[in-house]
Amino acid sequence: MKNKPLVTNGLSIGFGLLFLASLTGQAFSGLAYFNEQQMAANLEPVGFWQYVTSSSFAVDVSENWQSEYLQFFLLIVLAVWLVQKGSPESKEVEKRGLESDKDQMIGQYAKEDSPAWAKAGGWKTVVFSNSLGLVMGTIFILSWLAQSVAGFTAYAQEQLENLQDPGSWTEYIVSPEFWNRTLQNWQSEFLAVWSMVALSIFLRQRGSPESKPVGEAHDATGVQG
Amino acid sequence: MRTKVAMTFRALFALAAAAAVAVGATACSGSNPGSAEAAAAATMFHDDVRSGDVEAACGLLAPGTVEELEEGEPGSCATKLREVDLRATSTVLQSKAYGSDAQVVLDEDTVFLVQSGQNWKITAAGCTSRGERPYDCLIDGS
Repeated sequence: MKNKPLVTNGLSIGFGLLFLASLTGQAFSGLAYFNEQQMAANLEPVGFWQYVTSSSFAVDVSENWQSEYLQFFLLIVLAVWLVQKGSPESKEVEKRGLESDKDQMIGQYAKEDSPAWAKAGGWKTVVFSNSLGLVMGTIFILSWLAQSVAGFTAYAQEQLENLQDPGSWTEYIVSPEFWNRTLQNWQSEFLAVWSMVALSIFLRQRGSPESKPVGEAHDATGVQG
Repeated sequence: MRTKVAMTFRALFALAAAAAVAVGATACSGSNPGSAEAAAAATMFHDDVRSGDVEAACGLLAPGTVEELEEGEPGSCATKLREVDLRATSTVLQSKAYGSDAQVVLDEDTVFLVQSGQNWKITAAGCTSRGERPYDCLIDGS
């Protein structure tokens, strides 16, 4: 049976729309909050386009990106070697590690419809074999850099409000303020991953690939519903 | 089938790239005042005070700063500003803007500003550094 592209790409489209709707909501609520503060100080309000092109908005938008990418990057990479018996987030205990070329269908074991770089062998296959981790890791580093710039802007603005010197970016990235923000984001993401890995051993969500089938045994590993 | 999936992903990628370009273009066309405008506002304030046009100088102050300066006597900004012993400045040494706040370092003064619509308004002037502690300012509405 043939399905329409909207159906076959539902997950990408759904989350894409959720992202855009949240971002739009954030733009309007952020503008209202910014102008509320301007009015309280008897200052002139700013317009919508003026607000969404300001560094204040950029700071708020990029604040948490890095920790989200770190979470997925670590889960993708660490789950190669670390397993959790009974969790659908883990592969089978015996499959720890990079697995064989045959299991991974690369080089001579590639199938007819395998991606070209999986068949190619050499550096192309090595790169393609690690492409998900490499890209997520790169986005994490870039978004962490963005957060350091955004965080510094917010910190410098606060300093100026208090009639203090803004300092520099290099001072900021070794400051307790930066590391406090960073670790605050990280611990919440690690807690969420840990909860997902542990709770999915004993709990089920019927029909979700993030869960095991409802009737599957608690100690069954590497099974999706 | 593979071609169709690849085409859909290419379309999604193109859409994402177009969105990124649109965001970038919007970011570059913003009308937020920058550090150059902050330096211009600080210089203009000092020029107005030096030339005796204190009414115009008062117009460059943030409302909260005017209120602080007038100390409960509305309309007395110009009179009060004449009494402030601001040192004459001639050169902008440094101007920095972060979010809706800015700092302009002049040869004989440091001025703090806040964004008001598309302009900068002065929150503090006649400021002397005290190291890590907040600046000590002759005019201060922070």
